[in-house]
Amino acid sequence: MTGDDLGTVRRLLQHLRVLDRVALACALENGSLSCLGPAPEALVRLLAHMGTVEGDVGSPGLSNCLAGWGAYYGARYEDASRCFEKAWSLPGPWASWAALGLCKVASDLGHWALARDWGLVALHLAREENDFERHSEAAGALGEVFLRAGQPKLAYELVSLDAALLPPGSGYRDRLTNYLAVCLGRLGEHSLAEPLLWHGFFAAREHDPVSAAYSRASLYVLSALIPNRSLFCRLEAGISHSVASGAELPEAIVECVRAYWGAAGTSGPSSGFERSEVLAHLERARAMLGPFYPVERAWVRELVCHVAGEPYDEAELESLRQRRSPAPPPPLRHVLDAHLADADLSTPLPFPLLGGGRSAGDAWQALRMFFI
Amino acid sequence: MRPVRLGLVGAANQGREHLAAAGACSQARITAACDLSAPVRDDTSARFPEVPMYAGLSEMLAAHALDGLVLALPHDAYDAQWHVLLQAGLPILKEKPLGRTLAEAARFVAHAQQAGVALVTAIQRRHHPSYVELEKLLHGTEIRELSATLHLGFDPTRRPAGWRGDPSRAGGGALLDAGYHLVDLVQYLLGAFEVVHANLWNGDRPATPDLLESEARVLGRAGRTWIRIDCQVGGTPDVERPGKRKKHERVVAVLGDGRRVEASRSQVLVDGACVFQADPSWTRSVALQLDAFARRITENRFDDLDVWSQVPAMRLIERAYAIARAVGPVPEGVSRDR
Ligand SMILES: NC(=O)c1ccc[n+]([C@@H]2O[C@H](COP(=O)([O-])OP(=O)(O)OC[C@H]3O[C@@H](n4cnc5c(N)ncnc54)[C@H](O)[C@@H]3O)[C@@H](O)[C@H]2O)c1
Repeated sequence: MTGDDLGTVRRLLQHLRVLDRVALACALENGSLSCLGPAPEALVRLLAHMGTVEGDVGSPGLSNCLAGWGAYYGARYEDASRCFEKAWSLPGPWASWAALGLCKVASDLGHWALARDWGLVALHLAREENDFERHSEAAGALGEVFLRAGQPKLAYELVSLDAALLPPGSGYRDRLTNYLAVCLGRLGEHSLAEPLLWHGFFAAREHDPVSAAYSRASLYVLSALIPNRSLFCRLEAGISHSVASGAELPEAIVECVRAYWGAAGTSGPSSGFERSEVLAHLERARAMLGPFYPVERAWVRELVCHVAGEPYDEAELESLRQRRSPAPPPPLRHVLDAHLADADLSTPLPFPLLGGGRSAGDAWQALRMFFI
Repeated sequence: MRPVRLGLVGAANQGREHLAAAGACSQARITAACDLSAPVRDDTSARFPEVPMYAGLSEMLAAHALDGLVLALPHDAYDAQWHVLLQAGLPILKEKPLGRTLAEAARFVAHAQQAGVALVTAIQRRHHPSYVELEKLLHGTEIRELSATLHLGFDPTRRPAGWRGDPSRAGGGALLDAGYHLVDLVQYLLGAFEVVHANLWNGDRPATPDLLESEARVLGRAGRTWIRIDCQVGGTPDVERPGKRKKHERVVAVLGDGRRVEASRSQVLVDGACVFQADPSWTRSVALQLDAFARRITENRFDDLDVWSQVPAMRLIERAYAIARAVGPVPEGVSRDR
């Protein structure tokens, strides 16, 4: 098994764990990681063996779904899209899982409206099937889409719905506390967001270091949003922290905030601007993001251009635009979700995180768009 | 047959709806009214000169033989007055909500029961012809989804005047006040349901007990039916009247066979085709409500259990507040700096 396969399997395990399928995740991790061949097929076999998924695990619908998730967690978005589309085209109880996958792919590629439309399909199907777990997942995924698309109020409603549906004692609770805090921060409720993030950090530090890393990164973002340099300095000085595997995005964001304070943005308080140091932070962030967060990666590229005084290179944005995105879902007549279906997610550019030609200050402000 | 003689207690906003509707009643008459406020008395007398007005309940009771009382008082006024109101020994039609909290509602019910006084909550949507028609249409059919919306069209940024603007006096904002109608309407259409989730907003800020909600959204479930309630003091901006909000009231249901049924106060549509039309005003439904109350008085059709029928609505609202505040944001002792 290659390192890439291992990474994929780890991400998938993390996904299962946050979905409270803890027993399955542990069994896979403890007993089976070393013997996994190409990840998705091996997972299908394992799942079949463990009998944890109802129905015929070997059916093309379910195995396409699993292959889709494998590809998604390996950042192979085009493959993921194809697999989920295939699974979607085959009627069966995996339809909502496939729709959720298509929502996640579209979301990662920055197609907010498309991600919303697939997310609403997943939500609708989950309700029809009375599948509360999927309903919760779909609400959370939609919350992320709405937050990134600039609709924090609807995002808060969706994330708080996700939180309300969590089983008591869920290991995912701390992450949702983070998400709620981020929504509150985006709504301008900084004094409410900060204690929730500290709560999330300390509650998760021992049992879910990745979640703690997200809380910490969100506190860094908050320091830039308010802006509050003393919060930033406290974070830099105060938290002993080791980088958790699977925390690439939050670690990258911390680097971006360090760069922000180094460059002092345009709206932040000024401090000696060490261009090379700022660029080093941004390059570290890009390296951490790897292929997994293409929108964020392109945004960091934009910052690099601003800091280095280079003209903005549209190539990365263009290649993002060119990536194959999922086909749109069939039209649904929404009733319960009409307010979500009608929300305006259009932005002047395809990706609100990105904006060739905008000022450095505006580019830095896009820091707030991160859903972390 | 002699009309049933009702006395109105509280003769301002909603009290006047009852006075206006009484003219259209076949069995009920409002034969006297009282209100503590002299300007309200003058104003109401000018509009309804045929109804004698008094400053207080005791004066009204001393001057008139009555068969029942209609109460339209501020939410906080009942607590102090409850025993006095019960001492009159007359059946009571009390404007919603039953209480500011479930505990207060339960106390009102228990005291009414001890005093042997019949108590009914006034919620006129159950009598509106559109919703009566909708109930008939939905009855016995499988319903997949139902959404109920009420946007009052006021300026949501203005703090309500008087008792409504004071959280401890009002007991709640959009959810308790206007939301009560939707909760009750959904119960009327579907039967009991459970709250899955709720969000409360004051504009774009999550509402807290000290910050009355101008918007309330509740997700609920009854068996396999999912329910959404959206209640707002304001509403969506009205493009035709800049700065104003749109008034909007609608129930939409998706049936098991995929048909879509839509009801407003003026019509009922099935898959877009109008199957029923009604007068959207409240006069008729409030009149029907007064007549229904009058009939029960005449036939003495109040049983002990009736008084408990509004408790599920109160319980549900209380649960929605608890859920919204449980996932809600304000840790104790944190001040909001915005
Ligand atoms: N069904 C509906 O559609 C609807 C609409 C609005 C209000 N309401 C309900 O009606 C009730 C009254 O609301 P409102 O908007 O009319 O309030 P309001 O403030 O306009 O009227 C209340 C009146 O009660 C009077 N009052 C207070 N204490 C009194 C007492 N002890 N004796 C006599 N009069 C007294 C006040 O002077 C005031 O004039 C509330 O329960 C409210 O929720 C129902």
